[in-house]
Amino acid sequence: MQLIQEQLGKYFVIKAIGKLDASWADYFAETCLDLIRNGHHNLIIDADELNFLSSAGIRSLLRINKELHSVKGSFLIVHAQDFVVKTIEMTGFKHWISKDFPKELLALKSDHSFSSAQVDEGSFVLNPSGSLTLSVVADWQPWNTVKAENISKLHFPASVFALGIGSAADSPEEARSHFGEFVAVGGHVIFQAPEAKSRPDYLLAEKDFIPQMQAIQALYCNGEMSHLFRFSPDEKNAFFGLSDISEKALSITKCNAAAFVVLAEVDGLVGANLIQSPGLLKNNGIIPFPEIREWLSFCGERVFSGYQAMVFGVVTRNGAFEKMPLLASLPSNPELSGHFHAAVFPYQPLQNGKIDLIQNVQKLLSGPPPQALMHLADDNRPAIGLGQSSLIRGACWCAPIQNMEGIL
Amino acid sequence: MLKINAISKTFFPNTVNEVGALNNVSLTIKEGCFTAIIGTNGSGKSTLLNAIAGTFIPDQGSILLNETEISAWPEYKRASLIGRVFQNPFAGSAAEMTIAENIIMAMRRGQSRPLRLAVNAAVKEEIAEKVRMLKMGLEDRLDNPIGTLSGGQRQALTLLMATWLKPKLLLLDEHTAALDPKSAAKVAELTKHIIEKENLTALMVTHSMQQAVDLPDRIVMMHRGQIVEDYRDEMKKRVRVPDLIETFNRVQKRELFDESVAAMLQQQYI
Ligand SMILES: Nc1ncnc2c1ncn2[C@@H]1O[C@H](COP(=O)(O)OP(=O)(O)O)[C@@H](O)[C@H]1O
Ligand SMILES: [Mg+2]
Repeated sequence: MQLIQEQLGKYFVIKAIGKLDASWADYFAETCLDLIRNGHHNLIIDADELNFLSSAGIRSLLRINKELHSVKGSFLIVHAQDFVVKTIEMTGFKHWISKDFPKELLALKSDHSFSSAQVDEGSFVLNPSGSLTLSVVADWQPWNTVKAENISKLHFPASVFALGIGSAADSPEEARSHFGEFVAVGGHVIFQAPEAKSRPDYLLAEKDFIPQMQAIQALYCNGEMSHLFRFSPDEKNAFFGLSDISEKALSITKCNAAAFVVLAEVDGLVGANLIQSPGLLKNNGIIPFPEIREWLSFCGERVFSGYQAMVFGVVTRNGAFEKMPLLASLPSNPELSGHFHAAVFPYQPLQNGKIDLIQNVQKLLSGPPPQALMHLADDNRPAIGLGQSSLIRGACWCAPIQNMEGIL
Repeated sequence: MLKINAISKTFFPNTVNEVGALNNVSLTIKEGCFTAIIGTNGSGKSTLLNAIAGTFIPDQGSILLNETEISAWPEYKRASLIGRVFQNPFAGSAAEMTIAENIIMAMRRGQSRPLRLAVNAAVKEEIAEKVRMLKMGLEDRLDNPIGTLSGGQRQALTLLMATWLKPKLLLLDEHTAALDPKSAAKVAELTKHIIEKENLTALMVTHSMQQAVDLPDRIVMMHRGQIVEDYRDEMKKRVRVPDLIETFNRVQKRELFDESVAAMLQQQYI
């Protein structure tokens, strides 16, 4: 089987030549799923020279259709021969079939000056007055012992975006041996117990249920996002570092402090996570090497390429706030400081254009479970540093931080 | 029962080639327990088996087999209690001798004054019966030189010979690694069968995580001369290949966490 690909406007045309049978079905499906992953959400199969379609072939069409459906894309089969039309009609997918290309595409076909368009670029104003109030609710500093007064109970209504270290246990006493990183978006909390083998768990906001955590560290933002921008690879950038995304969030919100949520395909993440609860610390002060390895796990290499990350971050231009705790300077852009936590999921495509944050977070959370939760680090060790975390394509919702409330 | 107490072994000490092959390894294995040892190349798996078999004397630590301290025993003396099968299927038998002759040698192993074992009909029948269990049709070829057999057939016979006298301990070092996949599966199955039937205590080094999950009662993972993970009882029953791979990754990740990472995280983990 031979596949000839061509982009025309918002459409991506795949001319399939030969047999779509068991031996080619996977190749065909993978090719199309790859295109969807790369942001081509309106696929047209030109079946003019498709001369066989088996049930394995039909299954591959169903896979493609399902993926396109999940991103509200479109799927069309044109120029199909009679037996293909009949087979597809019998399986109940008559609506895939069209005699010819859509009119708008035919117009493009005759216009040779056309050049392929970027499908998922752009930025959007969601709410011009959207902004967040940031509270540093708890500010445990590694590696001090945790006293009872360092533990705060947090609530996560839908207007809250947060990151920190905490536990879902009911009481502060129970929580003590379970403090690990968490990230919260729109009332949904993803957290990870501090063990080398643990996987993240989550608390989902539902109806009357508002998730709660016992936290020893939290950057807690309440309010509404103001902007959305999309990013995808172009001639200049094959991927986007967290400091680039931070810079863009600051510039688009025209503020020296901003918070953002990113949903995006991962190029590589760099970070660490707790593997023992700080609640169990016996002494104040820095934990030397190698003991520190009993408390923190480091990724060791750039990880989770091709996965889908949900990152929440707070970023400031230096000097935006006086004595703001919990922000680390970013070696990749020394003018900025920030704190970022990422939850990592198996890849899920995002719809193009202006999309809703909460809907997409819910969609991510209703799919396969998260694989990891990390505190992201900008690793600038000379020669051997892993660099900063970077993302390939996705969406970033952001808002200026207007008010900064101190420790509550 | 096998009890290994804090053994260490350094090859070429105080030279540029110094290798700490075993670093304070302790391991207790109950009677009748079948344990797999997995780990990256050079993690000390073979060295551990060699220490038990007496190929060398460890720098430190002791080894007890059935409550008896055997650390100072020479290799040949331990061989009366320990059966071994190695990776090379051509190493465990004499090619020019017949199958029957090879087996008779194995039946006499460890006897200080070998009785002349008369190769009478009864002995031949006993041999044929056990060889029949291999289900390879070799019982009809007992008088053929063993060198005429395939690697898989020879390794199956080597296994049979190593367990003929029901050793106190069976040591298998990647004994299916050199075989084609089909023969490897066959020998693996045979291994489990014989160990169960004879209720042997066994240690099997394997590079196949699937084998480690499928065959034994316990899995020990080694890394850099140390035991880094030990799956037993319920844990062993639950463990699957992806769990082992994840553990491998975690062990290697930990290795990449060095002093420079610690210094970086002092700035970045806040
Ligand atoms: N007889 C020996 N002399 C010198 N070095 C050895 C000897 N046996 C093993 N080593 C070294 O000890 C380390 C562990 O080897 P080994 O036990 O064979 O690993 P494994 O069986 O796990 O692959 C390796 O670095 C190896 O080179
Ligand atoms: Mg953190």
